[in-house]
Amino acid sequence: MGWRQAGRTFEGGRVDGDGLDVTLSPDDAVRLAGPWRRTHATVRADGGRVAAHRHGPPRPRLASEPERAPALVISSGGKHDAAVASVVISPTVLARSRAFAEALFSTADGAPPAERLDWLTREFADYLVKAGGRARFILTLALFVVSWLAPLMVDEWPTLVRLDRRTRIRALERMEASFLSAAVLAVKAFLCVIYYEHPDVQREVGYVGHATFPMALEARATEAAR
Amino acid sequence: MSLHDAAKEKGPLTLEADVVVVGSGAGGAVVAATLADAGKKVLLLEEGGYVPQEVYGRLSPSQQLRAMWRDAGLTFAIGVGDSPVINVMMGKCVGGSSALTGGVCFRTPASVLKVWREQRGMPEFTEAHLAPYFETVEKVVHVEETPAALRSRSTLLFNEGATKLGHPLKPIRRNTKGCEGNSRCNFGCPTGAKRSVDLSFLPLAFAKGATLWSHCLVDRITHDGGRATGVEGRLLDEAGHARPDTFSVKAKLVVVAAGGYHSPLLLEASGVGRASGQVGRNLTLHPAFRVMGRFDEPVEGWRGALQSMYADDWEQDGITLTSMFLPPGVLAATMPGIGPEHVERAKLMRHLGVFGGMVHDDGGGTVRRGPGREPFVTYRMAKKDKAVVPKLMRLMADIWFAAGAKEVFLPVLGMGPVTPDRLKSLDLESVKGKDLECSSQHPLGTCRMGASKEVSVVDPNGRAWDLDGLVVADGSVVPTSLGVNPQLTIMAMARRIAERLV
Repeated sequence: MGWRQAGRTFEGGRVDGDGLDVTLSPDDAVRLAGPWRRTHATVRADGGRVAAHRHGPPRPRLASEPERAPALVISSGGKHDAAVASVVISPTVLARSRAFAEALFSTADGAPPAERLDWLTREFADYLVKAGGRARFILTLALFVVSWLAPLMVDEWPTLVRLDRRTRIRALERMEASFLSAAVLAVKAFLCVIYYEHPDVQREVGYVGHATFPMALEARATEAAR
Repeated sequence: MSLHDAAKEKGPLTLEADVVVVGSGAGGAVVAATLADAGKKVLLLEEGGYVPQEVYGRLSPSQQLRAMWRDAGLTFAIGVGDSPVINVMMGKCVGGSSALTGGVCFRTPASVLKVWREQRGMPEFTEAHLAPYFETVEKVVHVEETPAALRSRSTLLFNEGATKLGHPLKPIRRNTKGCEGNSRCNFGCPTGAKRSVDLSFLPLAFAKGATLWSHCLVDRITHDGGRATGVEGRLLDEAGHARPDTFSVKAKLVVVAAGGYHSPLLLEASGVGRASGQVGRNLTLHPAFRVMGRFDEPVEGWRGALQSMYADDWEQDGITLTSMFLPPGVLAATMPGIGPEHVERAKLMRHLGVFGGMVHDDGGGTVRRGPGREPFVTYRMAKKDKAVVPKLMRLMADIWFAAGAKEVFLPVLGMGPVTPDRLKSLDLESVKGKDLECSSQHPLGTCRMGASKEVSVVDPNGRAWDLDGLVVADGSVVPTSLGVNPQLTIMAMARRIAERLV
């Protein structure tokens, strides 16, 4: 098992990563990444560029595990190919961030829509790619700490991604109130900064201002139409 | 062609100029424009990329962090002792932090100039002496009083509360022209109304023949026989990663304007200023804290200018209060809780007023070379400054309550909403430094200016004490903390330094 440079091209379509589908636009550049412990990726379409992927059977998912994030870094318009080519975000990191986000943004009605979490995970991955090495290290370290220590706060073991959503919420709440709050807050801050830029989320919280595009453009277009 | 992107070039690149300016922010741009106007061949080098206003004005805050902020917004000063970890925001782009400030413009306070004259041995620094430099830069960046019509409801409410307590706020001056009140100055003005240096001083410099290379990381200042001869470094790719390709610039004069974090690193890497023992020391940050008030009525504080009023009535205590607002994601991130509790609180953002408080600090920060390209920065908050923080929080909470807020959110990690009754019983003096949520936009003093080489890195004209042909002209030379937003002081001092080089 190991890396294999595929060097393929691909034009839109879908990438399946262990049951997860990510729809790509024709301009997207893609890299499959990670330690592959949990990810089996198959490229179905041709057209974009796949830098590398691993071949081998996927590890079966545990029933208690939440859906994992795809091991992908996607960058629109191919403008950041250099970053994509030189930075690898592990699927474990993405799975942790998704599990954290699913708990953080859950409402009394349940988890946020999967589409929104997909978007958030992709944006978070893009953020990690474009952040400097140190910023990336701080965030991934914080995710690691939260992933392993938060479950201990509710007498569970071993990692956050394996807890059901309600237990995850309880674990993170306890950790946020503990002396280890800094790790939770670091991840929470950056997930929030991205999540609340989603137009649907902004509508839900009543934010219709000019500070965040594309909402601002939308608001202006509406005003102009009137 | 004035703007070049080194990411598209192959090295080694060899350039020549009369003056090479490292950094294109508030200091570097002013020096470049001044010297280019005097007929010098000026070359600016910028580590970050060029993001035109038409582009950055359309980026969301998180996209801005990725594209224009150093460390994507994750630059910290590590608190030492009973000090908070401080998130220090700074730009890494053409225009530097100037493109990402709230646009607030204060002249250097008279009380600070008095300290510079009487305690730092620089008698020239009087208000009258600096006035022409301030007037020049104020004209170029169009400093104006923020119109009352642009005050957000959040600011108006805080003013109501402050007025009830006998301390009405004052209008803030900003470098704007035609501001529409989009409340996102610090994430790049969407309309170009903020006259940051990328839209003011840099075009002036280009018009006079200056050139700028982005994506150039300067590693060291070259020198020979006690005189600076230029700089050398590496070319970066579009994502800011270093490439094997190198560049060098030969110049008669080297101006370092890489900011409070990176100017000292560059000097240290070049073996300059070591004799003083002051390079990278004396960092002041103006630690800042936000306090939010929750009202029953919708506030929608994002409608209006980001910063339009301030209060300096507590200046003697080292406190300056300035209006501010935050993007929705940042607002939500300050809300305690996980899951439904967090989401419900986030829905309160329409009802939140936000105001900021800044401490006129004594410093105690140090910038050292760290692993990788970014420095390792520590900050030990002076006891006097730490003692100010509970007073600041209580003062701002009282003002919000006087304005009719039902509860306030204090900058204490993990602390939920605070009602008036709860505030009375809170022991804010016992809150540990590490539990404070603190940020800064004003790193100053790490290559400080002074009267002798024993206590400072550069002389009162910005010239390095121990290397001819080297000048530092940015926030790092500011001798002490200012207690007010520093961009105008940095610009005026850069203008003064540059005029003395002509």
